[in-house]
Amino acid sequence: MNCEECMERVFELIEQEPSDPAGVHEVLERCPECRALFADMKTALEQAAALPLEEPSAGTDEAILRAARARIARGASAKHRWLAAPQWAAAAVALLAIGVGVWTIPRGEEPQFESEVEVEDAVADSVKEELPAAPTRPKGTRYDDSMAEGGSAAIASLGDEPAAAAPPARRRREAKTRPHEAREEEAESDSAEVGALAGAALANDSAVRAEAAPAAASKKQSARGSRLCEERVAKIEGEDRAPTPEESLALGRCYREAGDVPEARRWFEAALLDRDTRARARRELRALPSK
Amino acid sequence: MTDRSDERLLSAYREGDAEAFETLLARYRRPLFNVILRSVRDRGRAEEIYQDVWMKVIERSGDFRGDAKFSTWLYTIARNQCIDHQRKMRFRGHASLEAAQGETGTSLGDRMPNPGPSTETLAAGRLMRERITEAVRQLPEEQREVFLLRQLQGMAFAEIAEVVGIPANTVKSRMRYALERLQRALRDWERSDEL
Repeated sequence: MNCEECMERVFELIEQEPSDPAGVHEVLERCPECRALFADMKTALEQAAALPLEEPSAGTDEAILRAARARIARGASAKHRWLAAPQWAAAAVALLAIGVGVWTIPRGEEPQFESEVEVEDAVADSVKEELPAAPTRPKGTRYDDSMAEGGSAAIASLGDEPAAAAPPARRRREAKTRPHEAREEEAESDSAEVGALAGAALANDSAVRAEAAPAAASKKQSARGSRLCEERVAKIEGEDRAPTPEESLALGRCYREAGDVPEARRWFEAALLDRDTRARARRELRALPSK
Repeated sequence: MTDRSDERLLSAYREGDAEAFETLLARYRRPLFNVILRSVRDRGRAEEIYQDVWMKVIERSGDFRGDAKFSTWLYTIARNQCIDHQRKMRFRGHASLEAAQGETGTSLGDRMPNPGPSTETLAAGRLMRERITEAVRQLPEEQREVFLLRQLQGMAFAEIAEVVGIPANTVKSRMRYALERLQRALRDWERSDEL
């Protein structure tokens, strides 16, 4: 190692990050200039340690800690919102399932089904009595035409009530394949009844609604507004970042519009912490109704 | 709590531990504030920037993935804030204390009354501190930032290199030049005292 290299490394030695301490020591022992440089550097560092340190004001530290706690609170409320989300999702799925179920239920048949089965069973019993004993099919023989004819004849002998005599499953099939007009008539009568009931219910409902209309409307509007704000917050959180001061300000305004004063205050206070949005946030906070 | 690493503390804060953040603040408040103060040389502005830096830490705590050390991240934010501030000041045309004024070529800093030792009764320690402060103030910007990060925060050269965005060897050179300048300045004062 030469003196030039030593001068570079002297500093490393003093700063306790030496790359070649043995080489530096060796040069220092034989070179008085390098020793002088080493001494100067050491002195300079010792003197630099006397550099006075100042303290930031306690108020600034308090403001920082307040902001840090506010962020935690904001994070917690967002977490709660997400925790609550599955309940909403479950409720929405349940409603959807009910809706789909109601839509797909065949309304014309269902109410009569139980009584129909009873009637059908009775008719079937009487038919059984009137019918000649059905030929029993020997084991292993095929279901041939004579058997089919016997069955058809028996049905034909029932005269005007083939449908009633048919087994329930077949009746349901027939009901489905009945002429369109007949089914429409049934549907019309059904819907007339349902319509009348629904009309009455609607009349009652609208009377109740008319009384609570103004309060409910404002509540609904406020809830919708809050939901919009929450969606905006969720969107920002979905991007895995904290809201910018401008966004905090905008969210404060959003909640203020929605009538959620505490939430608006919280966002304005967050915007208060940034120099660029501080003045506007302060104005917004002043304009908010007092606690 | 106090023996936990900075990165663990930040992670705990992200999980909602306010005390972890307090510990981090307590660890860094003094060196960070002084690095900023020596960089912008105005207490009011230093307070503002110091607060802004911590606000950024709070806002972006979720972005910190632990790829770098917390101190590197913190001082990178602080450095950027200081640079932004200096840029703004330049843009607004504020008269810098260092900028040469008029035909005399002397800066406002030079022409301001030197508050130096008012009486001989000043303690030697205090005199030395004032001189060191002045010597550091007169360091070129690039040497000063390296010197402050090393001296006030005790950062390793490799870490300073990461914060400043230069090779570690350049950091070492800058530190060496800074110390040589300081040493020269202090020796000059000693000589003037002897005369």
